[in-house]
Amino acid sequence: MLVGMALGVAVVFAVDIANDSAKRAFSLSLDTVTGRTTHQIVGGTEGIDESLYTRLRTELGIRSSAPVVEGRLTLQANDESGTTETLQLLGVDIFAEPMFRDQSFSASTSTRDSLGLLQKGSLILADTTAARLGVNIGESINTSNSNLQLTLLNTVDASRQAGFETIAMVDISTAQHLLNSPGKLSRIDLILPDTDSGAGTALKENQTGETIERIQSALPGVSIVDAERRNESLTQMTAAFHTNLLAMSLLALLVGAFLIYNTVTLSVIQRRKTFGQLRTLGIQRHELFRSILLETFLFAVAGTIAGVLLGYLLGEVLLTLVTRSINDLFFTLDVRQVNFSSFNVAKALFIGIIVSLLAALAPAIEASRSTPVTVLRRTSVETRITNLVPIIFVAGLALVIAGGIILWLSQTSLWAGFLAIFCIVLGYSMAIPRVMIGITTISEHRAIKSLGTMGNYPFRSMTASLSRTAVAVAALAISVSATAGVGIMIGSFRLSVENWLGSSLQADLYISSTADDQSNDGQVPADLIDQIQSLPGVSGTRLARFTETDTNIAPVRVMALGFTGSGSLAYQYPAKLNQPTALSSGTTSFAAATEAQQVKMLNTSDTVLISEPFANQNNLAVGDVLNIKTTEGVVPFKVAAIFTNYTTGKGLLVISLSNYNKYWNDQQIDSIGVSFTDRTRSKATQENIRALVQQQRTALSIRSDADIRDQSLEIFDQTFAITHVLRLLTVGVAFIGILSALMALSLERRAEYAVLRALGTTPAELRKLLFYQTGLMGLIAGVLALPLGIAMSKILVSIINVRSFGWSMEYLVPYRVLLESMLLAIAAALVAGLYPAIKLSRLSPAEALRHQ
Amino acid sequence: MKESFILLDAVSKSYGGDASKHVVLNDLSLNVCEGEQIAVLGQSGCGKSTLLNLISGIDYADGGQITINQTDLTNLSEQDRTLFRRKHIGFVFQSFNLIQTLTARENIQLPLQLNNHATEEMDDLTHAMLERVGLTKRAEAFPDQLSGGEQQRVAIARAMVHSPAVVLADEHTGNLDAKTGQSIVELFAELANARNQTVLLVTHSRSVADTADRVVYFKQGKLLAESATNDTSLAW
Repeated sequence: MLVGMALGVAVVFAVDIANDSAKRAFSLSLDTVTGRTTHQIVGGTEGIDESLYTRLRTELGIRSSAPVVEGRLTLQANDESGTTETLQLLGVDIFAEPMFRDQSFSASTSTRDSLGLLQKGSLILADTTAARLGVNIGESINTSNSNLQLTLLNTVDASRQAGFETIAMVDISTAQHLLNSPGKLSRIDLILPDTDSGAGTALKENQTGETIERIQSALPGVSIVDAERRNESLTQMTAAFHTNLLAMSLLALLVGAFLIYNTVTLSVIQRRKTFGQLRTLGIQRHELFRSILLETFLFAVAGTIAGVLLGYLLGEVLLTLVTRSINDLFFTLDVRQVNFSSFNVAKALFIGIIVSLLAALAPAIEASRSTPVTVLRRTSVETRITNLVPIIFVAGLALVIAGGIILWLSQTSLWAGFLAIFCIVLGYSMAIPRVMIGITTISEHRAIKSLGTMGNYPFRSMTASLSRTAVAVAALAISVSATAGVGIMIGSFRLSVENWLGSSLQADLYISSTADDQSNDGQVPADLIDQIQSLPGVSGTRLARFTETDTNIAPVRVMALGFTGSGSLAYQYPAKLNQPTALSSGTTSFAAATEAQQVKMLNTSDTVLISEPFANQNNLAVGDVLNIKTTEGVVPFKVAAIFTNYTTGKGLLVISLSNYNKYWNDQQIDSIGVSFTDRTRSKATQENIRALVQQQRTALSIRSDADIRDQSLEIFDQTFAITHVLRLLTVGVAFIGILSALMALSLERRAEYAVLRALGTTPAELRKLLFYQTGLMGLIAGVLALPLGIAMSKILVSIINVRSFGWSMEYLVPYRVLLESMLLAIAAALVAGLYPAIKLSRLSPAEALRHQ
Repeated sequence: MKESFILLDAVSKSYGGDASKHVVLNDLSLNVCEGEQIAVLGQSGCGKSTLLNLISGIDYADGGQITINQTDLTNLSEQDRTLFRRKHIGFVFQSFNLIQTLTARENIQLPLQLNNHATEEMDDLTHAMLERVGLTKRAEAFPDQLSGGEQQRVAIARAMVHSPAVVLADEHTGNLDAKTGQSIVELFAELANARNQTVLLVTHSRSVADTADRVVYFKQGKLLAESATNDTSLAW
């Protein structure tokens, strides 16, 4: 009983604390970077000139402002391992900082540190980061960013400043040097309203609006964005990711509840005789009921505590996987310790105890309501349960229908989507006993009858103990359906990503600056582009420039695309979102136009393509107008099409390079994609390109489309590692469930098996009989799991993923996943049957009959 | 003199460890001839049921030798003992012990199937036995749909359908009223006589014991005395 409860609670607690730890670290990281910033002044691709900061403070008198230079810094460990660690570089003005970043951090940096940081090359790290890199205070450390040798000025206590673990803090000038962007700032943080006047909210809003207007009129060309809004999409996406994990853990809890039910029932069965004797001796029903519940409560407390301890260990493993997924998908996050609060423990205790008590209710009622004689007879219970089956079946169908209605009515709510899945899963599992009874009729089939009495036995035996077998089969079916459903979803997703990569990666070779795509530094030199275009064997190039900007809806990433030669956009346009709406420039919809027409439309009008997640999250449709902030001011762009995009973070807009050049007044290129005339004979062309690239002073990387595809798919697979683990855990819980059900059956059927032995059934035959029965249960669970799994995958693909991430995807049911799921169910049941079978084959018939 | 069919030679059996050892059978020897019907009488706990368990091979003796039709059970492996039991021994229990998930017909058919009888033969034998015990109309009923007497008829049919050489009955009327018990006793004796089966029945009832050819009396794991059923000198 303890094992059952502990396992159920452990899975939920582990996912809960892993989620919370990752969320906390995520929030701390954001706080460390943005602090109490309310607004940010951001520049275009070139960043902001630092003179603006001086003007802001002197001319406009805005004191609550702090300059920030951001980028990535790769540090080399001070040992012979040669390991490197990439951190978020945060260049700050130490005198402006205290009012912005976390107070505990400010408190931990002394005046000496403040002055010391002004010295070029001084650096502050988290103590844990410094320890990992093997650098002590006062020691030097190398960076691959520049030749500048950095010196560790001081460390910050990471236990007090968990968010600091991924940060390397330097002075503004050091950061500018490291990122090779002298005189440039990434942004200026503001706290608005500037003065703490103690005014009401409305007044404060007015003051903020006035200040923004003042800044904009005094410093034209700068954008002021709401800091919270800037991080909003990232927060939303990670929240959706956490919700998905939580739903998975709740599914494990549901399976765990079945497990707890089975274990509690098992404990009641084991003492059925004792309860019967107690009833005969005069113990009243309510007294028996109370004592069973009290005992369950005590076990539940012990089991839940054990589950919390086990969950803590499991949480550490899960946290690594959660963090890896978040890193791959959203944000640089470094969490090395599982943190949990008393709230997490209270939740686990509450869930464990409540679920245990609910699970114990049925067996407690069963034992207390029966007459002393029937307590000793299991068949009386089974008869009652068999009578209840049609009612449970109808209730289950009603729940499934309710789930469907919730899905239909709830337009975008993720939680409603999960509630619907929960209703469908629960309803479906309630229908399972009726289906199992139906299956018994198969045993009356001539083919089964030809197997003789022993052929009928597993069928009959299974339905004769419906209260045990149906619960075990339902638990196994749910967990296997989750495996199948998530498997199909991941398979569909992977296929969609593969197709998307296949169509997006039109060029054969990609050359880009090694710096972060979104940073302003390290572009592809213009003369290199010309040289590559003139190389023999090059059929065309695809030029890209990346930037970030703001729109009237939300901050976005912008990708400006230009083509030479045989270039094409080659995007996928989800049909549902690209209904043929005539654009003003013509009668053909963008998505339906030819590739040449698409390029022309993008070049000749102020049109923009928007990514599907951005469209879904902001309710945008083809034909809508998006006001995009450019260097030349706000320009209205018409949404021409919505394209498939599986990148995460902010929304992505695609405009033509010519429009970008015009409105951003920027001629730089970040990436160049090269297409070959003949791919099979491109080796010489590739070598020529490599030779050209090596001659450049700027650090550039060359990657083939295959490399990018492989790398992307590798990240994809890593991202879903957590889901695989959770699916396995759920199957593990169901496995214990079926094991306990089989143990309960073995106990109940001890006398029957003893009779079979007395009649001449050998231990091997008895084992075989039990294997047939468990195999049959596994087969039924496997078969029943498939429709549920397919339904679950359809909901995940078509509803949950769209609501969570804004991604629509192709839907493919790989038969391999279905077959694997079915085999998993059978294997889980057979393996679970091993121990009871071995125990049974050692049964002494004489002893069993004597104790009858 | 008839030849021994069942031979028990200095058989002993005890339960529990050294500290709480309970001797059930102590140096017991017994001869049963082929076709002979023996009733075992004795007080509760005297080892009557243990004797049946040892003869059927569902339990093993600590010492001594048990031979049935010249097969030494004590030298057989668990597997061989089971196969021997399947073929040569029928068992009737006090509490019927029918398989609840199988019908009356299927319960009776069980030993035939275990002994790999052909389907047609199995159907014929089952049908004949159902008819013999008067349950043709109740053939498709499940045990919980049958009365106690009907259940014991099914149990007797199951024990005898494959014509085992030995039939063991452990208090086979113990759970029945006097009238039903009497009809079961008669049915049991009739069937065993018709097949010339060797019978060992354990009972508390003198009247049931009287249907046997010979009565043996047990006390504290030892054979106290034996008599022909017409000998009343040892009556108690």
